[in-house]
Amino acid sequence: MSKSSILYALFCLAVIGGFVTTIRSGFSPFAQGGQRAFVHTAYGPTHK
Amino acid sequence: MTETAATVRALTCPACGGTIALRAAGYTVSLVCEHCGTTLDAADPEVRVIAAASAAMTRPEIPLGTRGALDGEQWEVVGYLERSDGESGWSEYLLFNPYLGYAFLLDDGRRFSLGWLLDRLPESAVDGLQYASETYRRFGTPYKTWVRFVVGEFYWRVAVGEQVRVTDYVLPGKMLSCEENDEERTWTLLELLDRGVVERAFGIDKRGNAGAPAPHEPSPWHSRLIDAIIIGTVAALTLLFIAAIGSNTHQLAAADFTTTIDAPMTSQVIKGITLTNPAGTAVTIAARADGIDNGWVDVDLSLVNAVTDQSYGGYVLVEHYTGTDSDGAWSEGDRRNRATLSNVPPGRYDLVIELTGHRWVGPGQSPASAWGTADVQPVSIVLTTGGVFAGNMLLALLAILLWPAILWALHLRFEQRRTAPVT
Repeated sequence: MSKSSILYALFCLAVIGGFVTTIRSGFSPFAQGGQRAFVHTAYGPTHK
Repeated sequence: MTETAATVRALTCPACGGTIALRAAGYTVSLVCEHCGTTLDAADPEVRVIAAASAAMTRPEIPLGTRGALDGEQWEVVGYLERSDGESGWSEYLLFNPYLGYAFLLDDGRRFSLGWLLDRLPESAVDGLQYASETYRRFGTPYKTWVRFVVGEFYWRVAVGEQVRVTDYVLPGKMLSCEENDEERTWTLLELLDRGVVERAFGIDKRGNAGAPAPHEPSPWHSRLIDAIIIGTVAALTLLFIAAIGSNTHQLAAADFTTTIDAPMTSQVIKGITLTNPAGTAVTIAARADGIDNGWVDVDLSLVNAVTDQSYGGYVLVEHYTGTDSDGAWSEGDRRNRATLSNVPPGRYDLVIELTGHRWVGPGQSPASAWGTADVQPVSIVLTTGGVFAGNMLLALLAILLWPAILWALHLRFEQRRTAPVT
């Protein structure tokens, strides 16, 4: 196995570790959190 | 290692008077004077002139007479010729070992390949040819080549302008090359040599990596791509397994409220929500208004720590619209929606809910004539903790798949360059 493959395997382990950490801490950069980042600013149907 | 026997015999070129070394006496048929380029008949004791020099002399990069070891065998360069197919050119060295016979060292300007004449014919296979239990796929279309320059001695009568028709069959690292003319057909097996092997063996400058790959050059990305696919698949499956385990959610609170359409905002509170995870908790607040039609409900949320007053806000919009037009009936919107709060610290919380209902007034309608939603709408609120954020999982999957995708692109690019027509 090449050096790049070993580095990639370690990277995958780090990603999985990070994913487990987000589950344990309930963290997500995509959550609304305390902010209203995804508030709709327009109402009504978009049907044309 | 095999020692090369003393087979060198000195001859005098009848054209220029120069001394020529006949290195494979007894095997060599034609000899091209390395001083003047005249082609001589080495089989004739008088060393008769076959053809006068027709091209300016070129000094091969590996001089004639140079010896070097390839795969543990000693070889001596006895002949050199240059071929062209009209679009590109390459060089071929004829190597000689008195115990092993002849071999070809093909130089495409970037990599070297070592070749031998086959003593048996390859067999036909479904998608190419089979030789020594390996299947070779045809590469490109047959093409004509001719000798542009020749010097040294050869076991066949070679001369500038000699033409053969070539058909190549390849597998990574090897090539079967069929050369034929009106008199004969020969098969040569070429094996791509590792970088630097020939340079070290014959003491020439190391080649760079520029230029198009050889037809039988293995992709340098292939093995890494296979590794990455295996590692990435295992990692992705592990990720999905962990996500499946961690997707459990716990409902901590639920309540039903009502909101009056087009009335001022009403505020409600769900008290006594306790979060215990010291590392933080993912909180999902779902709102549902099954009766809403042609209207929407704004659900403003604040999860307020009962001790510190720290507030975590969210917003949910539930909406649903229906109508008809020239295409028929249509509907859009979602009567169920949710807000997610990330990494909420442990503690006792109150959920403050502010509801505002609205009726949608379409073009050409007055508020009084708008139809659909009743004046009072029930809204259900459910608070759950735990679970897996889909965004996190997609981000992790993308991160895992990025390297295999890059390797795949590099591999494809290499294969495109390898199989591209020579320009």
